[in-house]
Amino acid sequence: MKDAREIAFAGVTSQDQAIQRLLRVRFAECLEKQEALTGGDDDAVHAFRLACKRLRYAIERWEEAGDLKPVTELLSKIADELGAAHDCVVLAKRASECNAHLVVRRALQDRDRYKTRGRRLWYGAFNAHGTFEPLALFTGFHWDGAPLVSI
Amino acid sequence: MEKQITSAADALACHCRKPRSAKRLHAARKALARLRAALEDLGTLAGAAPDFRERVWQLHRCAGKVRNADVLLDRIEGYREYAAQDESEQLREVRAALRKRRKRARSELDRLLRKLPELRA
Repeated sequence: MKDAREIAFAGVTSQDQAIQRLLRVRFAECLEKQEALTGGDDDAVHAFRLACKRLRYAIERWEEAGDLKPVTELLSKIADELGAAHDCVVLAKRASECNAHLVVRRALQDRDRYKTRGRRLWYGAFNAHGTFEPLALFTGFHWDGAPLVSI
Repeated sequence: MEKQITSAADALACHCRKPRSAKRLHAARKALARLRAALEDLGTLAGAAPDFRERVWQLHRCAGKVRNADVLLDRIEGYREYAAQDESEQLREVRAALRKRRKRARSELDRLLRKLPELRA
């Protein structure tokens, strides 16, 4: 998956610290790329989706992440919506190569619909006591409602 | 990491036994995606060899091409149910193009998998 940040574990002395650092970096990637949801760059949306998947896999790999299960469930839903949006973008490209303009139009309409759903799910999780609150607290981000502010 | 490697190998072996199955291909790709993510997170720490990473990346990419074609062909079928005649004709052309792409992608994946003889057993 492209654009994954390198994780440096220097100075880490325990498993908990390592997990915290890993999740912090992966969550930060998502936060960095979230603007794609309000822009018009399909590649940026795809990169944001991949960052969400990296974060989800990182949480799921950690067996004691019970408190963060709602986060992985939400990330999975977001990735599904944005995955469908990406499929529509690719379909529009293939259809365009065949001069199938009606198919292009329909695929792009669907892309917008899926992207809107993904955006709602993502931003909805930043409400006070929202789905991302435990993750933000665990990874050391200051939780102050949207937008998140790093300490 | 060991768990992710075993899981990806099992899923690929399962795919090799029935390479036309979209479900098995999807399962293999998902397992490869998890292995790839594990390597990105912990590969340096675990001392993963660069050529092993590269093989995982390649397999994931190739499996992705087949999977994308499968998904798009399903979507085309969905569109066809509610399409007027003009659009149906266009959908048929796109479907034919996607089938060709899928065939090429399957061959590419098969070539890669042949380089992993332990999975063909």
